Amino acid sequence: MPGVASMWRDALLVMAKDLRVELRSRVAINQVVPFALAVLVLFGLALGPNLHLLASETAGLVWMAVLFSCVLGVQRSYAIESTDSAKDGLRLSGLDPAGVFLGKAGALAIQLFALEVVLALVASILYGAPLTNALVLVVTCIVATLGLAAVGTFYGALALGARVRETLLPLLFFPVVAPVLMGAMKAWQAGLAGTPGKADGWLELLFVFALAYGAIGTVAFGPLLEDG
Amino acid sequence: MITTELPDRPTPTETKRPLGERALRVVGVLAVVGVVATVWLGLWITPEDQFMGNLVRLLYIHPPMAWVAFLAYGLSFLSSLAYLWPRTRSAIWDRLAGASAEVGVVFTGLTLVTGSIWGRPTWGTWWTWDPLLTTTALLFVLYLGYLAIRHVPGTDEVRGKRNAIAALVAFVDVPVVYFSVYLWQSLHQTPSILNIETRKTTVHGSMAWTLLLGFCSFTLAFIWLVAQRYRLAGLEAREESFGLEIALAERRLEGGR
Amino acid sequence: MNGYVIGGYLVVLLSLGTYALFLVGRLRASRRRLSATFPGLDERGPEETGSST
Repeated sequence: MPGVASMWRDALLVMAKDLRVELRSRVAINQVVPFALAVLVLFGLALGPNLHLLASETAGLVWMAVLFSCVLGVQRSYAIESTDSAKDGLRLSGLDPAGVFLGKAGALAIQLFALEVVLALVASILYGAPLTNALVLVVTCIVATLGLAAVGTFYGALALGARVRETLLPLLFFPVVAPVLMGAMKAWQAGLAGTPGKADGWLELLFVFALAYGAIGTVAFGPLLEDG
Repeated sequence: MITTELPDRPTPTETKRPLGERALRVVGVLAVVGVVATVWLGLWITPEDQFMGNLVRLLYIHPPMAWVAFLAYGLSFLSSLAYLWPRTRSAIWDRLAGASAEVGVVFTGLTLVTGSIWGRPTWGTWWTWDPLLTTTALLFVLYLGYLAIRHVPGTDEVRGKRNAIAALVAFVDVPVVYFSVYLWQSLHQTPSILNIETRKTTVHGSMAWTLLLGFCSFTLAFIWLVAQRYRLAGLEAREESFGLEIALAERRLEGGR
Repeated sequence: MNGYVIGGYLVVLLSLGTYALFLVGRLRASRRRLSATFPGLDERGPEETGSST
């Protein structure tokens, strides 16, 4: 089916473009990563020097930091479109809107994944939690991140044109990704605690979530960008 | 195109209000009567429960709040579907979805408050992370976000489509959230309104009737509130489009001098 | 009688009552504004009367 093939082709185009912009501007590396690290440190401060508590709650803290960073990532993802009207720029580019969605979500997911690797390493040091069962941790990151990127990219488009986008987006994003937070946190806890088997159900939940919101975003992106 | 509903001749006052006005008034009166009756029955006539004591009286209002919230979001969902369906697309559905969601947010807030009030004397805390209450809390924020989206500027068509999609996605998220929270806390048994005490209680006799009355009265109240909110939305839309007419008329007058 | 129960009932009644009054108030104000400008106007929304925006 020519439609599907061109959708994936456009997706790769957009993903490559977004990643290239990031490599050149390094905003994620220079700003989002330090922000996430600061969040990890501040969590440590918020929970007092209670090392036992920090070690046992590492999973939840890391994933909250990821959620905060994802919001920033989405804002950035839309900020790099033409500054006058991102909506028009995306629509007039002639690319399949579903492909644009997949591309932008994909680029965001890749950047988030890289961030998670960094956060995992830093958190294991800050909170004194060894990264046991790394495979479970990695798989969780992949599945959870796809879901986060899909939801974020979708709501980023929904909030386009709103002057209050900066405050609206987190409000829209957080309640919807609560299941991802729960799933990723529980799966990581299972891995870190040495009982990787317990993560299975949560990984399934995360997978279904990613599929569902990936599909929703792919289908709804076009209508959202339309002018009438 | 701006609506031009300016009659040159004044229309008779009886046709000023739509025909539904009388029906709405009846609904409103019934709602008030029903709610008052529920309160009277709930607080005085019905007996204490042998396990929960007087706390059972909250059972006549907390579940109705939750039921109406659910009803409200369901109506928003269906209206949004009706809007997106090309053959039935109309601003009516968009306005109805918005009105229903706003009323829904009010009842969701009340669900949380009454649930919390139940929890305090029962388990000593103002909040238990049980799946129903936690999902309701997330639902509250989810729909506040939806109401915020409705304020984002754009043409009527753009906003209508955007609102409808947002409502659909929010509604779809509800079972996902509930399922996740249920899994998340099931490992630690948290106290829940659905647990021990309510199972021991058999609701019968005057209690059952009061509960039913509660559901019906608050549903009527919901209908009345949504209808009023819907009309308000219609009037405000009119004011908006007439605002331009009024301004243009004023410009013309100025130009004429 | 349990204070919590009374509190619960009060919160519900007062909130809904306030919201209802709020809606009615805004409706009256809006009708007043519209009929002051266009006397005898019927109050159905634009779409319900078949005209388009």
